[in-house]
Amino acid sequence: MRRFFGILLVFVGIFVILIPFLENQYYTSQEQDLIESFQTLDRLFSEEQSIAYAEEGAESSSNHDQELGDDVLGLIHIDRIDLTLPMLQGATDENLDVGAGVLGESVSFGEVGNTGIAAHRSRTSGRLFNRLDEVDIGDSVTVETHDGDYEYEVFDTFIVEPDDISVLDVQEGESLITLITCTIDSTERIIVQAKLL
Amino acid sequence: MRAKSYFIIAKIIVLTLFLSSVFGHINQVNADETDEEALSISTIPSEVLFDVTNIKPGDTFTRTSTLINDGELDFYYQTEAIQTEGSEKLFNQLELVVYDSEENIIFDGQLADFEGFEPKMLASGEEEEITYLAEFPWESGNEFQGLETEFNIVTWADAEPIEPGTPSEDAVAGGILPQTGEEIPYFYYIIGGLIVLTGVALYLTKRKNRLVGDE
Repeated sequence: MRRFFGILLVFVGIFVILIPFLENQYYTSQEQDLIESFQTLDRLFSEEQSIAYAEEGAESSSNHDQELGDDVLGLIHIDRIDLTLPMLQGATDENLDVGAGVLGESVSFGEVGNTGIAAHRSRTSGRLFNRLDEVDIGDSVTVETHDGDYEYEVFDTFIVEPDDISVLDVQEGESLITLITCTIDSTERIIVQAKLL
Repeated sequence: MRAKSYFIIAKIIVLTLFLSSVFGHINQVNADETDEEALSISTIPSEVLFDVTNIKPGDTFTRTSTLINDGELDFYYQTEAIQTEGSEKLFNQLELVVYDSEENIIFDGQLADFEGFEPKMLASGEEEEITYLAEFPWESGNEFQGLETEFNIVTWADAEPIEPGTPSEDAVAGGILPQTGEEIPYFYYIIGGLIVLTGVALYLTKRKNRLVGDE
């Protein structure tokens, strides 16, 4: 009996060690769900089926996608690092687990302003903003929203202290996005700034 | 509910952090530089108001912040709570009571709803003590175990009365960029490792006993 209990404990211990990995898998799956639900909703809009969508039949079949898609402000694509992420309002813990958080209350993609977009420096290669440090000046960043796609070009990359919020300053006449993630040791912030083409 | 909260079995680890940031909100003052310099607000302590760990349901924490008008103009001031990172659920659960220097209650409600109080004026050279009493409510259940939240109490000044909920343009990021690092989950590795070692020890003890019995 004691031997059986010993083996059971070994399995329980291995499970506990695997929890962070399983959790990561769960968040990755949630991230994909958000992307797919946004794309589904976007497709419905672009195909001008919103009227049909409001009809009872369509509504019941797509309710889940609509709820998820409503939370997503848009998608951000960075080809250089082969990344597509859902963008959610606010850099809360829950949002940063499954995508990028958009700072501030008013989002102004395509308009004059400076929109901060933060995401975790994930421990998993390629996930979230794990490879943001590989993005270079001249690379393109595409923001996809229900209102349309916006093409930005990276014009600056640098590292700042966490309290340097001047990176979110608006530059006159410019429509900017500022991508934010942590350095590996989490003590500083990697900043990638891009302007609307 | 986050998967994380299912698994943490240790004591409640709740980190709340108040940061008081100061912004000279000068947009409505006459635009020449002299007037901009004349409007000045400072707070003591200037940064950390609350830094509390391991709190339990029912715990309350009181901190006082002194606002000082060290400029040449009288101004109106306003404060609000802005969550910067961490669990929104825990942030929404916390309650807050705010007192002025005469111990009048100027706000009583959910921390998440704290967008300020009736506009208050502070004359040049005067100061005012504002007391913040935060409470983690008794009725809070186990689902908050292991969650953390961080938020700023932002204070700003203006020449005109500022209505509650009027966002400060400068306060978008709450004075600090989001914490976007992912910690290595040592907690799981250590606990898991200990459980595995205990299991191995149990298994080997049995074997050893049997070998001794065989001799």
